[in-house]
Amino acid sequence: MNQVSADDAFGSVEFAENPEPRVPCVLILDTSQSMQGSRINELNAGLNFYKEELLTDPLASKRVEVAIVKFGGDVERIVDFVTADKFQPPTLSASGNTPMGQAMNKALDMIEERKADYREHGIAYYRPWAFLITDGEPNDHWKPTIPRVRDGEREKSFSFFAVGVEGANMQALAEICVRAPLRLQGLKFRELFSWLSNSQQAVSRSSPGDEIPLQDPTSGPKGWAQV
Amino acid sequence: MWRPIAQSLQGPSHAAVASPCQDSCAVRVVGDEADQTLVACVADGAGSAKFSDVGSNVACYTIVECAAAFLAAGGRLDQLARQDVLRWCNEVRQRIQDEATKLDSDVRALATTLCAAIVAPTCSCFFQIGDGAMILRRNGVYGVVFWPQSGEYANSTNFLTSPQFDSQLEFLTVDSSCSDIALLTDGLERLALRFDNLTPHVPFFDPFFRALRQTDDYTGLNQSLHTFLGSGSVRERSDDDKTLILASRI
Repeated sequence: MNQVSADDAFGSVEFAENPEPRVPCVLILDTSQSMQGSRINELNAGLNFYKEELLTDPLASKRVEVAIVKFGGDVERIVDFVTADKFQPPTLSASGNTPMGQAMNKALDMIEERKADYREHGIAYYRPWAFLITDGEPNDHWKPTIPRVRDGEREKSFSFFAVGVEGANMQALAEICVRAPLRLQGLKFRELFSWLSNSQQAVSRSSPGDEIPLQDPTSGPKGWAQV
Repeated sequence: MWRPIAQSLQGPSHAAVASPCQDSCAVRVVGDEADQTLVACVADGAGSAKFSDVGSNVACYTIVECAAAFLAAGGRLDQLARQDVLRWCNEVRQRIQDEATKLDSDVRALATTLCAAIVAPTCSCFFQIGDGAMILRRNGVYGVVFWPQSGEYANSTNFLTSPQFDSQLEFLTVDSSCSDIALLTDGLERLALRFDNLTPHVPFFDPFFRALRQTDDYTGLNQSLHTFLGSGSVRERSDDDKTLILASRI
């Protein structure tokens, strides 16, 4: 048996051990040069906090699956879908330019692949999340990705959120995203990830017919964004 | 004779926001001891629908009433057609509409699923719209009548209150019976069914049916069932409302 087929044969152990329905979420994170310093540090701290928050909820820790694509110079899948209890937050460092279009494409490919995995193993799943965080503007060939994002959102293939850190090209984000892009207040990454975790906890325990109203991220003491 | 027990219990997430249990169930045994027919229904009101507890309740008692009336009038189960069952469902829909009007609301606020079983000594009928499941045991072998209906996502399904209900309703009559039957709502699917090979999870059901068959006081098992549905290990697996009907024929 070669390596690849051995991987295939044993790859589904995660589903046998944990047959819970999944809430897949891919984070698309800007790690370009401009994120250097406190931004990348706060983002890293936010990722750790995200894991902690998900782990406080026994259902969410088995149901929410996190994946990460980073873009800074190149595009890399640095975390493949894992449930929150097995998620090891990476320590990101910042360098290079901003190939956002390629990163979004990769993330949407990963969502499609993951859905196929779920179906193959009889695992139920909720609508996937794609969550983009950037402080710059795309400098690759990004426009062709716009219809893919907008069509997917309309067909409910996934929910796509975009968050701009100060300096981000909000105009470009508004072109990409059907939902209004959100501007991060200062460096409130911790509040952002707390909101993300809360929202996904709510989704992960929802039942047929439930509509999950998301908390307004722009108001209240826990607010972290402005539209 | 049939020994049925039935319980609906509110899930922790609904209890936390003081919303009512949106599941309902109803069971009736019709006919004399030698020739009993079991009529059983469970229904799961949609989570986000404001009055879905009313919807699921109306669905269960209306179907039991229609089925009992059909049998009382000498109706034969082997001649019960999909059209007849659709007529019963339309009766449910009409009553739900009436309740919605009374509540100054819309039928969507009373959205509910439905699983129903009518089991006579030599013939059975089943129909279902939405999620939940009916599990049968015959000669020691288990089977699921219809797999729970779900959309692409885990929080989407079909409702009796939807305009397309007649095409989504699954209907089956068979010239056979079963010794044991369970009906359950979505909140128990993950404990009671195996989603990898689409079969019942036998260890879930075996102890229940054994107890039901061996006991001298089967109605007393309702309390045990209630305790089980509220137990920590069950709550940990699902936040949703949970309903389980179990019945064994002795």
